[in-house]
Amino acid sequence: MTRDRALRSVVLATPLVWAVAFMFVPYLIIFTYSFWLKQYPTFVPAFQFGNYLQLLVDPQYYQVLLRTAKIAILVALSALAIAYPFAYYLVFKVTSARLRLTLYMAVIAPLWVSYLLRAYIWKTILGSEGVINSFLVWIGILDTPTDIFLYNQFSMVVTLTYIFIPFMVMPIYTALEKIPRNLIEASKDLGVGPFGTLFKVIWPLSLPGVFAGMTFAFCLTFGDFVAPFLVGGPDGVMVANVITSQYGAALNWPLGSALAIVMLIIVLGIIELSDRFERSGRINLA
Amino acid sequence: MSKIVEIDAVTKIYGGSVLAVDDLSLAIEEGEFVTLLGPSGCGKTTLLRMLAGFESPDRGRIRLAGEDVTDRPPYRRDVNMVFQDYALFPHLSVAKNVAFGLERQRLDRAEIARRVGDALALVGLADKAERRPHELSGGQRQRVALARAIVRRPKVLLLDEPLSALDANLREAMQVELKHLHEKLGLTFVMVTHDQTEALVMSDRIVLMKDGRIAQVGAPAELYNNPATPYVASFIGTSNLLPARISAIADGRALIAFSGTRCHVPAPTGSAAGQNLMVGLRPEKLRLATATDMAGEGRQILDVTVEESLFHGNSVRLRCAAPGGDILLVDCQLTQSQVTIPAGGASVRLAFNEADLNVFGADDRT
Amino acid sequence: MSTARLTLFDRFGNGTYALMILCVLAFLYVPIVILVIFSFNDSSSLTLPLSGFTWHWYDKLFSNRDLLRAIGNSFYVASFATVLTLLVGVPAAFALDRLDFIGKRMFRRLILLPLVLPGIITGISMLNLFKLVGIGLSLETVILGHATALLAIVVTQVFARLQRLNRRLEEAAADLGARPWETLYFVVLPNIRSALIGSGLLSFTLSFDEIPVTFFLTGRDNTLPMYIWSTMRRGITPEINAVGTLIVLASLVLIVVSVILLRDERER
Repeated sequence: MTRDRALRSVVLATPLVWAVAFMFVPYLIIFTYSFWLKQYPTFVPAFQFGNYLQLLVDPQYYQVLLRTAKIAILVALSALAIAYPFAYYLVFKVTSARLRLTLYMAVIAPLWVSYLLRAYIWKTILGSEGVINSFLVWIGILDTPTDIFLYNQFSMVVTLTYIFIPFMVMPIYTALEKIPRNLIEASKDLGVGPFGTLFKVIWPLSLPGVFAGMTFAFCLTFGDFVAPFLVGGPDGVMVANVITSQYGAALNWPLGSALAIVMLIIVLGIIELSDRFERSGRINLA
Repeated sequence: MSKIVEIDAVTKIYGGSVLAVDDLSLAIEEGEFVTLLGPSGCGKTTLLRMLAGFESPDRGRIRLAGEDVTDRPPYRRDVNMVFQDYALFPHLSVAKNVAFGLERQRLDRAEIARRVGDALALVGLADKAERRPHELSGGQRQRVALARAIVRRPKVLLLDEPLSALDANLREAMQVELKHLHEKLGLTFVMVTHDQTEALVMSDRIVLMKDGRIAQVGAPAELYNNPATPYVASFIGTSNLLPARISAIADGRALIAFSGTRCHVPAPTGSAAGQNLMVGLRPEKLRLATATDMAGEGRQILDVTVEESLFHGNSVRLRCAAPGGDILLVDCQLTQSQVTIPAGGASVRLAFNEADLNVFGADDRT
Repeated sequence: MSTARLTLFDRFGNGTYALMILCVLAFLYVPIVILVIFSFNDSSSLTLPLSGFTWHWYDKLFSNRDLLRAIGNSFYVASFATVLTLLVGVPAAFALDRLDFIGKRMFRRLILLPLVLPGIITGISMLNLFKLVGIGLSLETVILGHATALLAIVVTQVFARLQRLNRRLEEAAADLGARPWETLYFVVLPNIRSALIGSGLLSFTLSFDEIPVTFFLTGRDNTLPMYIWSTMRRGITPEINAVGTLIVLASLVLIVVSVILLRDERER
């Protein structure tokens, strides 16, 4: 019995200590710093909301927040537009289980290919010295390379959509797979056409998967660090870039911390919201 | 014979308020086949799980072969269980599943191999030793679960609804097989089931439970023929339960009136004239009487109207209304066809023996 | 009546759907093919038309000491981070599945946070911690950072598997005389094997590829992605395509390995 209890406490203590030391305490430190005051060349303890105020009134900062949110929404929507039909086709139209699994694996597999590389590839494709430009010049559509493809919000959305498609397919596929086939047959039996069945039966039942995928894509885009540096350019500066510069060259850790806290709140807020949506929209199939 | 299991005033409460087992005491003899029978939620499974050690009683003691095992974890109890869903280890072969318990006892390899072989041969699966559980049929899995449990030669074998996952035909075959296995091994079997037929066919003794308590304990025939309460009468088999009234009591015998007839029956203890009680009468104890049949010598005649007649293949069940409005079910065997089966609306006479009546005291109405 | 319409729709649907599937797969895979093609292209710029086949970029890569050292560092970091995150994550999943304790909800939220939390927050928060406590940045601090960021992956996968695990199996083991640790070792672990391998491999891959946490927590040593990152920022070269191609190849091997390792499990 006592050894049993010892096992129990080890099982509990290890992750608990870890979570407190490397998660709770560090978050607490950022939170504390966000109220501190910058005093060149370092910063001093204080309790004031100046950093947060600056984020709200200085266009340089709130515009970045808005832009980041906008890009995150665009990415979530475009990934959804691509992933949903794909998952739908897999679940309802592909009759061979083997082909279904193969296609599913094919769309998930890029997750295993370096994230950094996947962003890098788009830099090489979209750049003014890149694949598309040289192709267009080569076949004579363009005289000189254009720089409209890279270093803007378009390139950000393309790159991040590309990266997050698998994240979107997974939960939607799971949600669609859970829908009992007899519901669809019942709907058809009641004379509802294929489109009606899609919009009135399948779509509502797949919403939990859609919310999960959108949440993933939004949150991951919102905090993305790699894409803005590689394909973003001045027009694609995102929150992560600003935090990095506050922690780096600007040496303004309090402001960087405040921005991180704001990012944290937005991300957690979105998750909470999607949780609520999912719970209220969940239809018990059991 | 000695008592192998002694359950002494055991109580189990779930979540602070749900009384699963209520101050229950029971002794099981060595080598017995005892069935815990009852509807779901009667506490039979909880009781079995307390014997296995998965649950611990809130009050009371459990003794196994004279030793108090109440506070012992499952792995230090000399009992083994056949689980309802078999709980075979999916990652191990059939032989490894059966060997699992022996390996925990640190027996030497040759001994383990020999006993696993014997156990698999006993359940007729010697050729399936290297299969994985998922490659077996439901009935075969059942046998593996059985082999795994008996290979350790436990003092008591616990069976938690062992046949419930099998289809009807296989279930009947396994009932007989389990019974033979019990005779062959001489182990004590304690089985939980909600299926009264299973209990009647297999057990030496049935413990019929209700709301965490024992409703009646006894041999199958005893429970069937002499149910202690209307609950027992209706749970085991079918019984016509009819309200009756004591007209008079004399010399330990009572004259009771019910459904337009009067009978002499042994007076229930503590009963008095004018008291209401219940009588039970099995449908097969009623038979169609001819016009010349007369009451007397313990035989009674009832005049009823047939409301409905349901064909059951080898028998017909009649739903009849007695003059007072009581509904009586009657089973007529179709082997002797000297009696024509009446259709709905017909007036018929039913005969029964007073001795076949089950008389219940006023205090156990349900 | 509606059968004719349905077939028509189905047929029409199937054609467009097949096209749509092809487009999505092309969108996903053409860029990777482009990456591979340019690693063999005999030109220092990544432009069309292609100018010829060469092994040059691979030769260059294998004589690049900084790059090789970065690869070594990445293996070191990813291996230890994976082991560490399994050592912490598996007990965490057990605690969430089996134990009841005060603050469990809070604990779950905290430990699953990095799943959706931008890596940059894990990065700067741990940077703050190390600075405050006075721990110098090194590959070891990166390992701690990765283990923390990847914990949620191990926890969710192992937890999900534990939830599906039939509890009767553990009871059966105890019933057959297995002590708690024997039940754990002989019954529970073999049955959650797929989740352990799966989350382990995923953790390894993600750690091997990780940038934001590494960016803030590394000292003088570079991991492979950090090395590529800093090269990339200076400009793109086919040498990166060559490294990228090797990484794609390694990912493929990893996928095949995991499919083989887990196939046994799937058949059940």
